[in-house]
Amino acid sequence: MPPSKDRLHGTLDALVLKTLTFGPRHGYAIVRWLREQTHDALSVEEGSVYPALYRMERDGWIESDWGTSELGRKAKFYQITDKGRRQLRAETKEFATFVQAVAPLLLPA
Amino acid sequence: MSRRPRWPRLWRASVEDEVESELAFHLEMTTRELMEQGMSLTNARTEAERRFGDSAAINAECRRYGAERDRRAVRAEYLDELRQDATFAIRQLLRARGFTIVAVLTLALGIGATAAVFSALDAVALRPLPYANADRIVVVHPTRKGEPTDPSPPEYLGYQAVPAFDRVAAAVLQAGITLRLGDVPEMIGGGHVTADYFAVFGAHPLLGRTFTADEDSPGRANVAVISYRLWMSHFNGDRAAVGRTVEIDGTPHTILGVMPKAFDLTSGSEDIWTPIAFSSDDATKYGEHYLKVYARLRPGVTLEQARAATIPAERAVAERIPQHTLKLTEYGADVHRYRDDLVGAYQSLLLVLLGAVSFVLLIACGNVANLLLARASARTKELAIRAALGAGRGRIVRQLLTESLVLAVTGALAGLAVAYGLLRVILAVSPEDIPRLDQATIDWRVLAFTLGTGMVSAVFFGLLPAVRAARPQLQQTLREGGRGSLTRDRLRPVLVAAEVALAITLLVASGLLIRSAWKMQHVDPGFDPRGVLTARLFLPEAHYPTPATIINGFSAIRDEAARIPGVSSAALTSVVPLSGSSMQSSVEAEGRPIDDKSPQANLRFASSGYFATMRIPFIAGRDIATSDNAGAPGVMVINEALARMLWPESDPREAIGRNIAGVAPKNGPKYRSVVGVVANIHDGALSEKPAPEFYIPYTQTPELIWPLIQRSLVVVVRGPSTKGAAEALARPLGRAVARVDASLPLTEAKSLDQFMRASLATARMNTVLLSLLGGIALVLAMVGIYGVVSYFVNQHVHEIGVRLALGATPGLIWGFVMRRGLLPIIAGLAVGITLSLLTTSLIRQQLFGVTAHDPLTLGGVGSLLLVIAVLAMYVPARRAMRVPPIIALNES
Repeated sequence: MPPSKDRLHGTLDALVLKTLTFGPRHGYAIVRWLREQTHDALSVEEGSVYPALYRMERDGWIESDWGTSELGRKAKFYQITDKGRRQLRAETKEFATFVQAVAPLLLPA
Repeated sequence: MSRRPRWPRLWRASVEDEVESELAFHLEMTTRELMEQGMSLTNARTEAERRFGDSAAINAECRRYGAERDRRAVRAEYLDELRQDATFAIRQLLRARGFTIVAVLTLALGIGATAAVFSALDAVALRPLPYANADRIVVVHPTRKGEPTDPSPPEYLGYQAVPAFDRVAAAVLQAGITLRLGDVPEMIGGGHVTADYFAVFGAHPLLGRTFTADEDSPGRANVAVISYRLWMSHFNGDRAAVGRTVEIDGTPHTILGVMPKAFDLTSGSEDIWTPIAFSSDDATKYGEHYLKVYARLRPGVTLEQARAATIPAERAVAERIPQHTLKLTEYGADVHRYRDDLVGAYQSLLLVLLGAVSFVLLIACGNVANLLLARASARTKELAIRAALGAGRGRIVRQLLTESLVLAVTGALAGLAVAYGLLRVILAVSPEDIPRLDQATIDWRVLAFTLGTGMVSAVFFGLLPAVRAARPQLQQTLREGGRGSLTRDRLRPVLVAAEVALAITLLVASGLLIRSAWKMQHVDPGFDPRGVLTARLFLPEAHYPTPATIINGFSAIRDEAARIPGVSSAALTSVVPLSGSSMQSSVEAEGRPIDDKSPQANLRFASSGYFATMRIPFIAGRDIATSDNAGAPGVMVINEALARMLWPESDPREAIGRNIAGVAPKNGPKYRSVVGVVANIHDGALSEKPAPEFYIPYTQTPELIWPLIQRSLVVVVRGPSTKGAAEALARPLGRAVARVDASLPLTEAKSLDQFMRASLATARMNTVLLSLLGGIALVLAMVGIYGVVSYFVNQHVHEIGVRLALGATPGLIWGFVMRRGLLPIIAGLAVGITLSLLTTSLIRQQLFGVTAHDPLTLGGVGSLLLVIAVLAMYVPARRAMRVPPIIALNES
């Protein structure tokens, strides 16, 4: 897998995990939150968040449970685990290193 | 109650539904949001789907991850439970220390004994021989009217043309070779082999090379290959041994190579190999059957095909024989696997042991199952509460089985110590010539077998009690206050009956084999072995070229040996009785037409005084005399069995003066006259009937026989009959031989008692090991019976109390307990005796002097078990008699 894709993967994972640090959310809420916070800058397909969610659940970074949404509908809520928090810290650190290395090249002062 | 993941997991039974509804929810929410912004339903729906992306691919990916997630969850939960169960089991077992110790010891005995026997069987029979393509190596030999015989040189040459074999080798093994490294010559076990011998076995030398076909010819054959053992013992493993010149049988030979350690199969296998070097004369020596022929099957050729291909080759050779004594169709040949030839007999011996030992293991399992049942009864309340709290039946069974597994693994580990000890015993008491038995150790294979046996036993002894204990009888159990119900008692007597049946079967088989061994040990061999020492001497051709020189040499040695202080008589013979070797010849009484079957008899060359030295009594006539020399008329001494075979209608004493043809000298008179008749002896084995035999003066040995017996005879000397006296004569005998010819080596001198012991080795091994296993089985059965009766008394304390309070005498109570205890034992006895009648036919071949249905053994074993059973019941029955009646009032 080329590193750029890895980077993208890792960033998406980190963003989702970050979202969940504010409390349990369902998939739609996560997508909406990402869209609002990045002012639509992250033009990923909305659906691609779901495989990431299932994968992270498989790896034990997040857990899910069925609950009731604001509108009274049954929805699947995700929650970050301790393992997920550790992963988020590692991912953030890696991202920072990446930015530190790349920023001086792309953004000359 | 049920834990949180219980219902989600139920729901998650379908990942498909989960993904489907989650994605649908997302699309619905997006559509709703877009409609709020003013889009129409259709437009909003299309826009939502566009933003979502490739929903089929996303769906598939989610399902894949979801399925993986569920699998991981199940596995994690399972492992977690297993760990929990194991920890719990260990805690429980540590709490019930008495139970645990008894159960582990019982299992250690059963599993350890099985592992030890497996280790021996593995080393001898299961492990492949250390040769490349070992299953293709075969032994080929001719048959005459279906009876096997050894191949002659022309037959060996004939087998070489058989296309089923890709290599064929001939060998004379177990030959005495005189090796001289320094001043003192030494007798070494060796073989004369053809160049292909090593290639047939696919064996490559560790150092140097083996000899070539060129070197395997007369005049060029002064080369030798040595064994790893000899290389170590005589050359200290020095690589310079290759290329050294040593004196072998009086002539210098060059050592070409050293064979690897794996080529030493038994402690008595060959230590040195020299070329057999057939001459062109050998190609027509049809009557000299002294070879062993080994061959390698071509790949894909079966034994049957090889057999079928060898018979025509055999008949082609037979057709060239100048004078036929048999019809051509009576010449045949047989081929069998080398492996079966080597270990076949020992394999069945070890399989009998493995059978015996697995009975011990089953009895041990029965005991532990009984212990577990008792324990489960005591734990009914605990288990009922667990079930009431929601533990499923499967869950409880699994937990109890984990407990059994922990017990079994602990038992197996402790069993390794038992296995180690028992293996020492097996090695100490087994016959010396069992190939590779000395290589038996507790290695990883045995370790794996032991642990495997442990696991299987755990299921055996643990499953039934576990399933039983997990049977939900909540209400009843809780109501009874954990005393357990009476209906549950049925399984325990059945287990005891089964144990008794197994023990009986094992003890009957052991009893029969032990009685056979005892009878064999008390067979009168027909000679008096006490105080007699024997040593075979080989006279090298270089110094003893003619029959006259050989005879003079042996005569001088005998006279010198007779002069040794303490020796009352000395004599010569060609074969020692019970040594495992023999020589046969056909015999024919004068004036009797030979019918179809020309009779065979064992043959010995002997000196005067042989019968006196061996203390074989004369029935009629005289001993071989010094005057019966090469120039005198041919004579022989026969035994009673031969007299009866040749002249069944007359008294053996009347054989004196009659003439018999047998081992006639070339160009000499055909008949020898009988001058003496002696009593029978056991020659081949103590378990065999005495064979017909005849003795010829060694001074009248036909010239062509001397090379066949390698110019060798055995000196026998009789010393005092006290213990160790014979062995003490070894050094004086060596000095006496050296006084005659200092260049002669003495083979290891062996007393007749040693030959007797070796011949009884298998019987002794049976006795020791089966007594040991039978003893273990008895103790285990006793413990089992005690456990059940004692449990019965505990369970019925209340009832006994009531009976006593109502006026029952202690005698009645005693009877009550004994009746209940004896019932399963009687049932087990009946089943066991029936079972023995079936199984003992499997060991019929190993029995001697007893029938497979020997009533004495059956009766003896039955009574022994009854006595043991009554002893085991005595303590709990006494306790029952002393129950204070007041107990009836308590505990209700």
